[in-house]
Amino acid sequence: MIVSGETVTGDLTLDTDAVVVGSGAGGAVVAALLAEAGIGVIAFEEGGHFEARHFTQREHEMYPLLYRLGGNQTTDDQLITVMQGRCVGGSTVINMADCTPIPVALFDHWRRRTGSRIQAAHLDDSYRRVRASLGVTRLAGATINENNAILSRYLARTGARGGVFDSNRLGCIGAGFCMVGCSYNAKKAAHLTYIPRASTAGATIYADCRAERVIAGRRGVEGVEAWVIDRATRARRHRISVSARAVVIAAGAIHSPLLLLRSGLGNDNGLVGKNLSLQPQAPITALYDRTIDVFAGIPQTVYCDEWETASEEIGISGFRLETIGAGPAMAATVLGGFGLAHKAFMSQFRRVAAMVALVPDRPSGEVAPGDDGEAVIRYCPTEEYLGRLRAGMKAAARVFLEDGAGGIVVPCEDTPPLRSVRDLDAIDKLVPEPGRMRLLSAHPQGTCRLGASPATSVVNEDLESHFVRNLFVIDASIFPSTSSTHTMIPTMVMADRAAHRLLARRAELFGKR
Amino acid sequence: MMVTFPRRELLKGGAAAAVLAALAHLLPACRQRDAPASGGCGPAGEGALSPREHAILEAFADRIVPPGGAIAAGAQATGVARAIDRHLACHELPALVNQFRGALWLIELSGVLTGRLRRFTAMSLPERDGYLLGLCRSRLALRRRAFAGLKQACLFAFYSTPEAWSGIGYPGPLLDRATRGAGA
Ligand SMILES: Cc1cc2nc3c(=O)[nH]c(=O)nc-3n(C[C@H](O)[C@H](O)[C@H](O)COP(=O)(O)OP(=O)(O)OC[C@H]3O[C@@H](n4cnc5c(N)ncnc54)[C@H](O)[C@@H]3O)c2cc1C
Ligand code: SF4
Repeated sequence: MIVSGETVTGDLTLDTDAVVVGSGAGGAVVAALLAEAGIGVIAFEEGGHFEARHFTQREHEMYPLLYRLGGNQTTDDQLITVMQGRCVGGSTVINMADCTPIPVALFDHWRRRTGSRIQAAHLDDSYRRVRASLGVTRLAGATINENNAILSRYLARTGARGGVFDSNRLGCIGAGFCMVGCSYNAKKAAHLTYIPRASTAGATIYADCRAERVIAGRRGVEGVEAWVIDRATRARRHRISVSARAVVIAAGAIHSPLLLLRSGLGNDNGLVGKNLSLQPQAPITALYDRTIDVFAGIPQTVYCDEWETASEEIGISGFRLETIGAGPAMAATVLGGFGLAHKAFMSQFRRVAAMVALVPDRPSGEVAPGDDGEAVIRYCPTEEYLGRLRAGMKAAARVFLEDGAGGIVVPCEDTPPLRSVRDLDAIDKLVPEPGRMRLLSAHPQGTCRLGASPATSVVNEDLESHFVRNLFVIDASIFPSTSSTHTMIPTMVMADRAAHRLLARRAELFGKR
Repeated sequence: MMVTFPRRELLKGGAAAAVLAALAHLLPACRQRDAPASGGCGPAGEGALSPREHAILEAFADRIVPPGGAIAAGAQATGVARAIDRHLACHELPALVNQFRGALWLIELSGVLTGRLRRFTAMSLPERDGYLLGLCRSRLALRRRAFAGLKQACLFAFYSTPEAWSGIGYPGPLLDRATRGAGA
């Protein structure tokens, strides 16, 4: 059952086996698997419950509805916009539906960093189950729109490594509004897959309910205190107190550590909230002399990972290029300049193409609670990262120019359009300073990292806190370093594995066979 | 969420920076890009800004999206400032609204504080454009951030309007097109 906050009319005191906080990629999987195994589940989701009929395809209506802070969560210096879904289904509802695995070499990297003994082979069954649940298939060539075809042509011409994404879409009509919710139920996000499964199996999902505190005693977790909040004003309406035998925090890589810190739990080694990766992306736009219609068709179908590497020593490195679609409001905000010149560029919107240089980072940020209950996200890009960012931007610009684009715009206030390969050296001089440049992050990770030792990690390999019994963190927080260039499937397979490990202990945890 | 400013940046900026820093705790996460051109949660016409603040926002939006040029409509004709103001009125984080206000005042007063120029709203239109260009290229992050945050809010609001859509050839939601088609 999914209970919308507005239907709750008074305070509630409840009792269950397991509470799940957050209903995104991590939380939805755990809620479904536990409920299907006969475990009592109550899930809290801070955002609202929305369906296809609510998705109006208007950016100014959908960002406030579906994204945390209307899509305007930023690092504290405003350099990086950190986008996250806030609704039943979490970020899976507004993501691009690209399905990528965790590179095999990463497991050895994580062993080096935190002693984790999880290996790729341990996840084989989880991949199979998750991919089947989401209906993951390789996108067909016919779905490649004009914008993505630019990168396809580059791959064909140069033999650079790359391809077409696997994706969790079925019956997609190529409407192009994935980032503001699919009005056609074609994107098989968590709210259409795992959440209905959880609900059918008896879980209760409270939407518009924010978990404020996890309660624990000497013997482990005891429950969760949550508040029903008013969807428009975010004011507290009613308290819900739940006693539970296990608590799974799956509030995403920014808000899971926040909940732990607010609760004063699990931070004995001071690592909660540390080790943040944002994987910042730089959007590059190009102007053509023909129609591209960057807003139409599946927004992201083709990638080029020629320059991406994954190694035991440093994890994922290099950069990759991915074409990307956007609506006009979002597109307008990433362009530099203002006034008539900005208007002149936007008037040619139908001839604009866009690509992101996606640059996996080493963890170099942290999350801390702010005065207003929201997160303070501090992130300091390293010089090493900036070098790869510039290389990625140059590579993207080169792809466009070689394809016949007339001008390239980088996301900087004071850099004029680059018109030829000779101009690209200007990118070497770009300094990503707040207010001068704008970077985007859609893949925050790492703030409650997993590992074998309580000295170097927050949760163990079963994703249970090293310090509080029966308290689990199961979402993108747990990766010791950036887990993949796209984090939905990695999060879901880790959640699937953790849920099965948890169920193997059902007698001990829940007194159930 | 309050914005912090690195000490070294303030030291570099001297006295003017110190005064601006006093405004800093008011200043901008400026993340109100998501301004509905219609709707919002307050009663129609009700905003969060004082008349002075609203006037600064109007003047600022008018330079970010002036009328004419390649797209006929501009911020004024499409009610960009009003849409942002109404959105602020029901924003979930009051601290952010205060920071937005701080950014507006910084735009208005920054020229006076540096002793070279008048208040933003007292400048001629070409002066305003030159001044804003200076802000977005300023070596003080504080100024650049105020400018960038407000600019993004104005652009997002403007390019959410049907007038802007027709100016750029964006056909709008497919759902509307399908409905229009079915009704025709
Ligand atoms: C625009 C965008 C595009 C993306 N594209 C892709 C893609 O193509 N492929 C891919 O693999 N990945 C993509 N991602 C990333 C992917 O969706 C996320 O990595 C993944 O969903 C993370 O899962 P999670 O469980 O950690 O968090 P989320 O899915 O974000 O879910 C966390 C949920 O917890 C809720 N919550 C937070 N705090 C509380 C609280 N206190 N109480 C109750 N609820 C709370 C939030 O509202 C949210 O709904 C994209 C992300 C974005 C933003
Ligand atoms: S492109 Fe496909 S998945 Fe995306 S919104 Fe359109 S129909 Fe839905």
